[in-house]
Amino acid sequence: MSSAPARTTEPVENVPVVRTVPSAVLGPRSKGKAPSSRVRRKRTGGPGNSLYAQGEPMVWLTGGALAVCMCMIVGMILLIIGQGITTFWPVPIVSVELKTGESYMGEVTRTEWFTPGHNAFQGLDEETIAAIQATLERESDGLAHRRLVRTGNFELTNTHFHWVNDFAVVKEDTPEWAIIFERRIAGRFYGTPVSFSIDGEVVATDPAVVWREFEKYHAGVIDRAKQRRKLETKDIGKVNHREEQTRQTMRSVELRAERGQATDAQVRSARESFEEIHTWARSEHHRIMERIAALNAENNRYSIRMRTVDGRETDLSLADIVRAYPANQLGIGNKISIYFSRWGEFLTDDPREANSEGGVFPAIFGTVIMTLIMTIFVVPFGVLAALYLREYAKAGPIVSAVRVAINNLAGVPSIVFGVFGLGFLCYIVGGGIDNVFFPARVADGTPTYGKGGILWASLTLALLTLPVVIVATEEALAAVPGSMREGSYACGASKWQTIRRIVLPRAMPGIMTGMILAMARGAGEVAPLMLVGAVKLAPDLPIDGNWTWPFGPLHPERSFMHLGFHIYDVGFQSPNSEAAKPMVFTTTLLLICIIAFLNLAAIWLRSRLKRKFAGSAF
Amino acid sequence: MTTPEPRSFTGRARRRKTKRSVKIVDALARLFITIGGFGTIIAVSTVCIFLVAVVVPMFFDPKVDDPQVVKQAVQVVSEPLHVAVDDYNLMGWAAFRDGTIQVFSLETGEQLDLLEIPDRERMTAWSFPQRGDQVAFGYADGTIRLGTIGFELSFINVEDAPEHLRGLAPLQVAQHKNGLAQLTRERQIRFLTLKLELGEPIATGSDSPIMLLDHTGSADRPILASRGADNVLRVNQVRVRRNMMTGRSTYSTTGGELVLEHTPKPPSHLKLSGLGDNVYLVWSDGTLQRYDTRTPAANIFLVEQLDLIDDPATELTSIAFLIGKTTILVGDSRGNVNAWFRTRPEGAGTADAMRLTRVNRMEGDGAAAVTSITSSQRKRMIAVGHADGRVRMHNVTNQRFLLQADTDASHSVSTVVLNPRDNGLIALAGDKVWHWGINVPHPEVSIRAIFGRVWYEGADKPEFVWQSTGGTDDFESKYGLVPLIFGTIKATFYSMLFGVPLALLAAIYTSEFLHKRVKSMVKPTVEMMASLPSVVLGFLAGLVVAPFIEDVVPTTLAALITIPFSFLLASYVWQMLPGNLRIRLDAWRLGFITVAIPLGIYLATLFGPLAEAAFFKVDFLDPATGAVVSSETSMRTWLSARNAETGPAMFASSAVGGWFILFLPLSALLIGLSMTRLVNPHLMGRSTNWSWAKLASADLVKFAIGAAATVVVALALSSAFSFFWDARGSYIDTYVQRNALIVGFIMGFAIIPIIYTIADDAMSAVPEHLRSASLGAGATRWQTAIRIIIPTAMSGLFSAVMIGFGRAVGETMIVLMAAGNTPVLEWNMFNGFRTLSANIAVEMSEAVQNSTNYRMLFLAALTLFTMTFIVNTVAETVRLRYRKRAFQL
Repeated sequence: MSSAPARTTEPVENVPVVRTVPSAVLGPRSKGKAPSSRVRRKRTGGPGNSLYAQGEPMVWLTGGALAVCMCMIVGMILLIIGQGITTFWPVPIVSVELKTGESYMGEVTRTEWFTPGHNAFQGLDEETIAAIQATLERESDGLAHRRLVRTGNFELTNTHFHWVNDFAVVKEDTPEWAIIFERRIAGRFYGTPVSFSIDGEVVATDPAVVWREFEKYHAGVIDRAKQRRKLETKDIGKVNHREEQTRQTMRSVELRAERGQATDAQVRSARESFEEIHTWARSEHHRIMERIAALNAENNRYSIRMRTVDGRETDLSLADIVRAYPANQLGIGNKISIYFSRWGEFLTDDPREANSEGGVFPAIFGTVIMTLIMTIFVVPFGVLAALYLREYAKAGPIVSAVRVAINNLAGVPSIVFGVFGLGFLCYIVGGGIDNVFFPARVADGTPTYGKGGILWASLTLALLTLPVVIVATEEALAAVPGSMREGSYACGASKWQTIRRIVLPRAMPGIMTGMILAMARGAGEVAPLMLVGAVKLAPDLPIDGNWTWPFGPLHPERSFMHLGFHIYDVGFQSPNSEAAKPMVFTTTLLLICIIAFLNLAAIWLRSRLKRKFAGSAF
Repeated sequence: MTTPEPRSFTGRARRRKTKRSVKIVDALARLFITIGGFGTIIAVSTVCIFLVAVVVPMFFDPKVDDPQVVKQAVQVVSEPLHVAVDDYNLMGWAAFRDGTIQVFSLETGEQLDLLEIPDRERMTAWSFPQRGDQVAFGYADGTIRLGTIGFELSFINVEDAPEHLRGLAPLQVAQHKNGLAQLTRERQIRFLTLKLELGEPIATGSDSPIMLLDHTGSADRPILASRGADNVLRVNQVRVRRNMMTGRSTYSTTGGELVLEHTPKPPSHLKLSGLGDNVYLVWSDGTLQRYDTRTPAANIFLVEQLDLIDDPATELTSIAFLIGKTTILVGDSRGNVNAWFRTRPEGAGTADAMRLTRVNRMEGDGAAAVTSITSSQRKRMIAVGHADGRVRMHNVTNQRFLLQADTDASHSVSTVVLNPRDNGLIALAGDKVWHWGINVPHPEVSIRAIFGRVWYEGADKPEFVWQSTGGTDDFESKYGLVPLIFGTIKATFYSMLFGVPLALLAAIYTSEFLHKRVKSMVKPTVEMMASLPSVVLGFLAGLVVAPFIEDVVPTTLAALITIPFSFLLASYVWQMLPGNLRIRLDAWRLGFITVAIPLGIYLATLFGPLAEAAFFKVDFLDPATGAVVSSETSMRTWLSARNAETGPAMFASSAVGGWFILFLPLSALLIGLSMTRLVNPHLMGRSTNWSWAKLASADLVKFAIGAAATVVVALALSSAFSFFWDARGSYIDTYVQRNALIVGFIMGFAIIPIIYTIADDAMSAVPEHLRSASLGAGATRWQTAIRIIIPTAMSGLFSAVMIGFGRAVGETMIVLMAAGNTPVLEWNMFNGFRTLSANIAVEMSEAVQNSTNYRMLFLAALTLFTMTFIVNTVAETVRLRYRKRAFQL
């Protein structure tokens, strides 16, 4: 046992010193202890004093509190990591046949014990029920075990999940050729291949051959589907963007004409140029639609016919299929590759199926851009305020009051800042910008800046995190030894030279720490964002290839997706919450990782820069 | 200096003066930093200023423009019956007793049109719409004609317009044919006329003249109530079928009648409620008879009769419905207006268990008799015309007096009307039409209505309610902040109850007992938790914890007791170890403590179901016989199995368990305290000659006895209490999945890191020499902690708790996702609630800028801001002051 340090400070029982020093002398005397009892206690001996003085039960309670806190923290982290990491791992497909004659096929998502009620026995006859109940009573105290099977095939069954009671299962197996299809619409499909056709002609009927054919053509189809999506979003988007801008120019000229500020000739020329662009846009649309139609036609040549577990057959279009694999034939290598390909999709793709499937790339992108814009605003202003308070303002009651107030702002609920952001930034500032620069769109009733957007969200969060930066910077400035400043002044440097060359470099670690902590706080805040621009599905990223004046590719007025809001939205607003839950865990894991990374960076930076300056202190 | 410049050894002349550029840069930097820094601080303070700026206009007095007298708008040929104006304050019409309707321009007073009610000479009764466009007229032959009257809007292209309209400037108004034309911003001409359409006469089943008439219901299923000269009350439910081809309507009626008792004077008013379920007959002396007309074909009967006017000298002079036709407004000859509606008091004694109750009173404030009452078409706002020519406006629900508009006092106000947008007030006094522009954006807001109980229409008593939006047009928004403030307090209370003890105790252990090396791992972990996004915790609370706990409520509650119990039990066992072993194992103590947690959880899974079986059994009774039909052992069933106050019993269950939940921790505290205060000194005196092992064993026995005593005391207390008081309905009641317990648990978890960190910092900041001196004087570490460290660090601990409090008050995402968000006022820890912050998150995106709801949400935000700012300032001030003192030690 190597607890030497503990032994040196630990008072040992039965040592006379402990016994003869009454504890009451040590602290302020509590009310209940009369001097008489002190006298009486003084005469007592034995282990009693020592035992009670150690207060072991209370120490254990305090330690217990710490242990409970730690367990909750560790348990929560483990839960999120465990659930989040396993989400994408491919699991085998089971096919079960029930005593009621129904059969189900799918992935088991979770299991539980429950007390079966009347509903659990629906479809069974009296005898079977009695037998089952007797068995359950005997074997497991009347509790039954059941599994939640993700059965998919939503367009056929109108449900994604089904509870399977173990007692009702007649036959259970893992069919060799059960295949999972992850599709762009209607969720997953589970079935066994029947045939593969090209141009309506069946080319294969044996499952293995069908699967080979499918794999052969699927990559090409996916490629074409991607091209099609690019045409649909990017190319058409560009055309629409250009048309919309010309239309707005025309509208604002028209509006000016109504107020008598523009001549009819101007209106006419604006209308003409719009007509020109409009014709061009129509022909462009036509051209793009033709290309899309060609791609679709090529893709529609292939189709795979699948049979579900209850015997129904249906054709699947290859273009809708994102990923497919025969789950029960996978080797560990295949499983790993599917696992990582899903992670890849999660991190780089757009969401689909009401955010419950696909990726979260727009949310990651939105979070990062918003945090960066916030940082650009918050750091300079925070440092300025801290410099003013610490270096320039005359110390006095007002400055300390301001300091207390700023400290307290850090404790003001974030939703209050959200309210301010919506009321002041969006409605008043944004509405003002709209009235001056975008009268055409105001007339159309579609505000540009006068609504939630990434700029206002960033500014709101900048205001929210300002105290963090100010306080951190102030502390860092205060930690620069006065001797260094005085040394600088003694060498003839001016105040600004001292600050720039001596104080700021020294305070840099503190400022950086403040910045990173502000970023961590900002990245995790959701409540204010709900009011100032985070949305469940943003059609466009805040940065894209369409250039506008004056921000170029950045569109600060656009609403955006955010990881934290995504968690709230998918977890609580999703129609298919059971299917969405794993995604929420994964998104949570991602968000926690980002924030933990930022925090660790702050800690690392602090310690590194501290070390750098440690030797040079006076 | 007289001596020449000394040359430095570099050979260059030494500069004695600072370069100008340096000075300029220095001055610029000072300016820039001062402006920037000061500006930033100002910008931050705009948050508060802006919130106040949005909130304050709610409490401004409403504005009324100077009156405009519209010259010669109407010729008063006979008694005026009704006046109405359009949405844009452009034109109005007035109906007169002789059956004519005069349409006039509000701008110029020109008469635009004169309509005649068909068969007007024989018209004997009339019913004009309060909202919408339905009218009904009764005739001397006992028939009724239904129809519509309203402004008709049509658009004309400028190109097609007649010559005199083409030159109109935008928004300019001109007379055109029998209406008004106006050029819109979209360069079209808006043409407004009044249109009256009446259908064929409907027979009511008698040929005696109709004396009083009222109607309600939709356009295709109107309900008519009338009183004929033969003193019979008739209610007709009409079915209107419109022929699509000809546009003509055919009517079929069903209904019933009731011969009224003869009274010396005939009733002066007849009013039919909005749903058509009640008819009120009112006499001018204030007598009111309420008839039930829910099934007119089967029976119409008198429900109650009461006197609307207390004072015999006062007369009833005017009567009207409030929007929705449920509340009756009664104006009297003293100038007061009283609002009455049906409530369900206990022991009402009427056939439908309801009673017409006077709820609000609008004082006339010295004005003469009420001559006319009109209600707003959007809000619970009324305008009252008085005999001395004043028009006063009130909001009914909160009895707020809004404004007074004066005429020249030469005539009494015969009719008063509010335009459909509530921005114009028109009064007919003598033959003058008075017109005021009014601006009453927030009539329903007053300090009393926000923070006090308000008696809303349909409620049985004044209540605190928050309900800002509703499904119907005549829905009244209820802006009581109290349920939200209560929800905030409830969330804060339960999370502090859970979080504060854990955080403080954990901080004590960390700073005083934890090994340095372990501390360097534990503390950053907890600190890291502080930056965990609350949306993550909210998600876990709502989707993982809440469904999980729902199934294991008794076990969860038991765990709150058994986990601390197992720590204590383990500590008493630990005491029994031989001394040197104990000291050697001391470094691993936290590990042993952690092992006690599974023990506690195991005990909870053992005792939870046991307690459920013992306390929470519910017998389902047959309501008729009282015999037990079946029984169930489930705490959640037990919680909702409270018997209704009236009617036969449905359940039978013991109330002991409810109190047991409360008394078990209390009696544990009591027994624990008495053990340390009474038993320990006694045992200490007795044990002088005992060995350590013997005393430790005795201590363990003492603990076991104490634990048993705790249960016994708790049982005794709760049995005693359950005799006369069932805890259900107070702090426990029906279980809802997302409830205060869940929020308390998860939000407690969320505030632990911040409290823990600040508390630990405060205790670590206690000067080391105090700790050394105490230990050196022979005190144990526990004694040092409790008598030296904690009192010295008390201010820090206090501010830690306060800052945790501030955090809990404003937390949004957790409550939004785990509290269910229903604004109810219940202490029930198994029910949800809505906090100020969650309310803002839920409603803000729907609130229209500058609407009442918008400003109320800003008020909620301001309340939050103020609460947290005060709490944080107090915490910060206390901390700074006591830190100074601590450093002086």
